[in-house]
Amino acid sequence: MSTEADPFADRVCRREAIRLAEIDRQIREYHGLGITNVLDAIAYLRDCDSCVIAGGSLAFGLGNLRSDLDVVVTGAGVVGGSRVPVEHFVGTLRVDVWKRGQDQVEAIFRDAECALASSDPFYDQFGTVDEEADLKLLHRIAFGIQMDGDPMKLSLPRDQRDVACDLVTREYAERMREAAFVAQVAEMSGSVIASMMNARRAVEDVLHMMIAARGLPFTGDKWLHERLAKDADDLCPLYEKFVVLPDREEDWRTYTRGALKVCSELSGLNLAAARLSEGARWVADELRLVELSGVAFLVSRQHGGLWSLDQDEVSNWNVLQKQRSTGHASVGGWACAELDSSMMAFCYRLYEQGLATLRWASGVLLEDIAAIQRAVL
Amino acid sequence: MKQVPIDARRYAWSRGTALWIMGLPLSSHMEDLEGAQRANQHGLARRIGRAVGESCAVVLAVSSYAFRPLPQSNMRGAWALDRIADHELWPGCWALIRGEADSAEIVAARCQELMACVQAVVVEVPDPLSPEGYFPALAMARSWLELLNAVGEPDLLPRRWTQG
Repeated sequence: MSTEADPFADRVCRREAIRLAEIDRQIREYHGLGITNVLDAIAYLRDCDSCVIAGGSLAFGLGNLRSDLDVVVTGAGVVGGSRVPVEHFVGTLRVDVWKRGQDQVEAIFRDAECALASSDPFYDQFGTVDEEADLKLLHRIAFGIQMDGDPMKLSLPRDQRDVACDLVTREYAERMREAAFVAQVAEMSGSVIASMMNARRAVEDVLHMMIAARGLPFTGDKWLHERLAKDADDLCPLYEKFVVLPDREEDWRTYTRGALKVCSELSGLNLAAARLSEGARWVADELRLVELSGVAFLVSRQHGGLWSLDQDEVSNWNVLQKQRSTGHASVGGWACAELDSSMMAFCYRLYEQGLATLRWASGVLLEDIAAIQRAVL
Repeated sequence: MKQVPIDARRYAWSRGTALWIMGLPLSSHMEDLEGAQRANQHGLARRIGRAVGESCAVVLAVSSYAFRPLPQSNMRGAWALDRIADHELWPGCWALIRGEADSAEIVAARCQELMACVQAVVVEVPDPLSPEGYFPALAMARSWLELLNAVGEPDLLPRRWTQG
């Protein structure tokens, strides 16, 4: 039964009541209203046999006055839903509500398990860098605070928290791999800023991996510093070492190499460019070369663009085309391991301008990540 | 009557992309920055500052020079900085992207200054996250979506918004 000291006791179990009281306190401090006001405002979205879960930065001990409250309405009785949250203003508090039926939630967890069991790369299937919707949704469900209703009992073979953390671990391992590879190829091509930015990204990706491997909830890229300070402060000094890029006249090569060394040590993965090349290929199927009055252009019909090439670049392109036409490059594109430095630099230039993508022969498997093994120990 | 001296598709895409970035992501970043500043969350402020610097560089690259396509996210900042190398706003974008270790207040001030300069170059976009800017921003977005449709360009809406 709820009391003044424990206002949520009749809604949720004791442990959740403590977490709920804390988020209620925070919202009251920021906005002068509480959880019951939020529940009243979104009551129209509830179906019978539904529960409400709070996730996001405010629920995970982060957040500030301007943070919105991320809420999931879910359960066996939930009808309808959408991939886009429904926005509400409860006073000055913005509340984003995702509505998903229990069957939809279970389907996402099952998809996650399938993806984890497969050796295929993820390729953003659970969310891109810009929109991490499914990654965050799984963590909201697994780690969120039960605001109202009976907790949903998911029919899953494994604990939902383990699935959610494994998904983030592998997603960020694959992002880290690509960032590490690009940082090195950019360095070889003399692209200073691209090299540094990808090296920093690789460090941030490996830190996200470490957090997830420790079983902590995912809160997205922007909260990394505060997250480390709160829950993994042993990793803070590492992050501080690489979070600011050297200025252009400073020693950027030492920075890039140092960052990748840290990534390799923390993950246990061999991130040397030569090693990563073995499983990587550049793909640029849509381009064609057209020569007009002695000037060569690379044409992209899709983007309505023209790029003029010098003689060396034309030679590189012709060699790459011969590789493609003789079937030397299987399944589209060009295997990085088979390219000399000149052709590698050419392909990197295509990638740099959004004309080529990197494809990988396989994903980064969890059993290969040392961070997980250390976390288990 | 005066012809716009650029291909219609490229014009619609580049200006539309610039306005889209300024409309939603940048407004959201500035809101996050205000929260970080009030709570003295320096790491968050620095991270938001990086996003603002990168977004502003991209906006300048596409709106001033109509470069396309955009590369994927890990290359966007470097790509944009390379293309605006001679622009007077390059140093402001780079300082934020570097993530120089300043206080949340200084990051916020730099972001606001850069945003104001970019808006002066491109156009001022109503803040969709404010009560007074919400509908004007929607109206602007709708106009640009109509132009993109008219010239046969795909719309700029995030794919997830339109998936079933």
